[in-house]
Amino acid sequence: MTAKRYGMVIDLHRCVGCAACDIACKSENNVPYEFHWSNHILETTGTFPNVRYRYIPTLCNHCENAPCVHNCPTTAMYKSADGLTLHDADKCIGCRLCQLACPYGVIYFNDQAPFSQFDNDNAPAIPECTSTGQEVALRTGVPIPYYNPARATTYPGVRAQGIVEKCTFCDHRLAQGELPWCVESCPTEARIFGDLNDPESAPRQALAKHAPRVLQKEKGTKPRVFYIRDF
Amino acid sequence: MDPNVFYSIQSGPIWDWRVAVDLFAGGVGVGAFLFAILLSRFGEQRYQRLAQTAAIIAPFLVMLGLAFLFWKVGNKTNVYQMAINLAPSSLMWWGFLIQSALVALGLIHAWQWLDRAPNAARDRLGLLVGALALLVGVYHGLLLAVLTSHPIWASGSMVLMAVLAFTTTGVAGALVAHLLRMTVAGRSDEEGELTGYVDGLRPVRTVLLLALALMLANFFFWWVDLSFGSLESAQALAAAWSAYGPLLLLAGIGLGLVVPLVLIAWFFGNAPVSKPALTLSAIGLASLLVLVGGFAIRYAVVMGGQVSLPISVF
Ligand code: SF4
Repeated sequence: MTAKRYGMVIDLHRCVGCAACDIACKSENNVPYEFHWSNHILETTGTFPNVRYRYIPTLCNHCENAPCVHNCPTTAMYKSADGLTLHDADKCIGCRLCQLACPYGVIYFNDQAPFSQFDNDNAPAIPECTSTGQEVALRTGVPIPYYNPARATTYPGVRAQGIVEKCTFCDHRLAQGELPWCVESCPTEARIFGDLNDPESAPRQALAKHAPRVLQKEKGTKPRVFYIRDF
Repeated sequence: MDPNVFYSIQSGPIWDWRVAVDLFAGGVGVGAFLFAILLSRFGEQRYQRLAQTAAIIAPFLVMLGLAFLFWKVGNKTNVYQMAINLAPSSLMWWGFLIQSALVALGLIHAWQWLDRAPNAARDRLGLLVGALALLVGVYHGLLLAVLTSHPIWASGSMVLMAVLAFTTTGVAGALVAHLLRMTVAGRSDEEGELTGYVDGLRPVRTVLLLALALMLANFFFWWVDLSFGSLESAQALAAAWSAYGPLLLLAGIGLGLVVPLVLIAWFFGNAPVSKPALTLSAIGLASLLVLVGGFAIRYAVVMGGQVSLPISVF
């Protein structure tokens, strides 16, 4: 049996630009407000009344010819057997060369200490009246909301400081036979995910039906995130 | 009408001034190594003290650069991972290996230079150190040139710039250090009288003049290449220029290339023998300016290459 080769097709005709994928990714992967493992490009062309607006969801392209992988000096950024571009936090030195090499701006560097948001949440909104977020969490005994046990099966459950991070195609969910959470959360089923080596798979079918495009084809990175149709 | 693109990615430069210091100090170190080795092979006896200065400062300059790089990396406790993982497709991995070897052998070489007497073992080691230094100097340019998503960096001019920069700043660094040494510790008998000493430096002047002129020409071709290349490269040049153009032009090219070129050409052409002390001071000043300009160039290139552009869509 041939190895799997995961890929994603994004149907721009179906995408309504609701950003549910962006939010879903944040909650699934502990991604903070200012990072965007799942992201989008907004493009406006033309002049009124002939204006064209495009919303293009982006994420790590899990490139076949991934410059982040080629350039990483510790092999922390690597290709898995099923074609995912993954990151080994234990090997990363935080040199950020992968970030410079990636033409898509999908890799983020985390310079915040774990729990720093929690540690800094120590000023009440109304002094002498409301509790701080920190007090509420400590008094109620709820777990500090930075640890994600599901995510932690393949990646640090608490995001480590001083290293890079990026979309993993939810490899922890794939390991359980589930789809990436952005795919599950898309209300219009614009994200089509599966094994590109399987001719019967949904993405292969979609690619057979519609001419695909990729971002910055001329860079030769061979992305595994394809865009079909438009609106 | 051009599309209006909004794409919120991580802001700010990815590599900051510490990387520029690494490339600059490393380049001065590499150039000083090569200068020392060439002087010890081909230089007269009176320049062996200068070779000694260059050989001793060289590994420490490379180490200084690496210290700044170490300061820059986010996860310092993992740096050993470069030594235990094979990453042959990564230039930085090769750079780590070559620079480690250069520092280790360069320190032995510097130690052997504590005694200026002829030393065959030191000469043999010098050949190896010289080869490693050359590789590191080229690596400093290649490291940026392979990053094709940054048009400012991704060209052969980047590599040539690194080679010319280590040539000029290495010689200048060694000269400044040696002039300081002469000022503090005095001249040694083996260096002979000043007139002959200054006059004998003519080959060094020729190398400096040639490298400075080539660097100017390289900047011009780089500019032409980017301006008349792809739309992406022209946009990258315009963006980098608006942020770092004045620094590059005034400090890098003006102060660091043109003024030293004129100073060296003028003083060697007019007063080397009649006013040797003045010529030596002029060489010192020119060398200092080459160093200041050399850092400005590295800084402008490192930072300018990262000025972000709107992402191209389909
Ligand atoms: S930041 Fe980490 S993953 Fe990226 S190139 Fe450096 S070591 Fe590799």
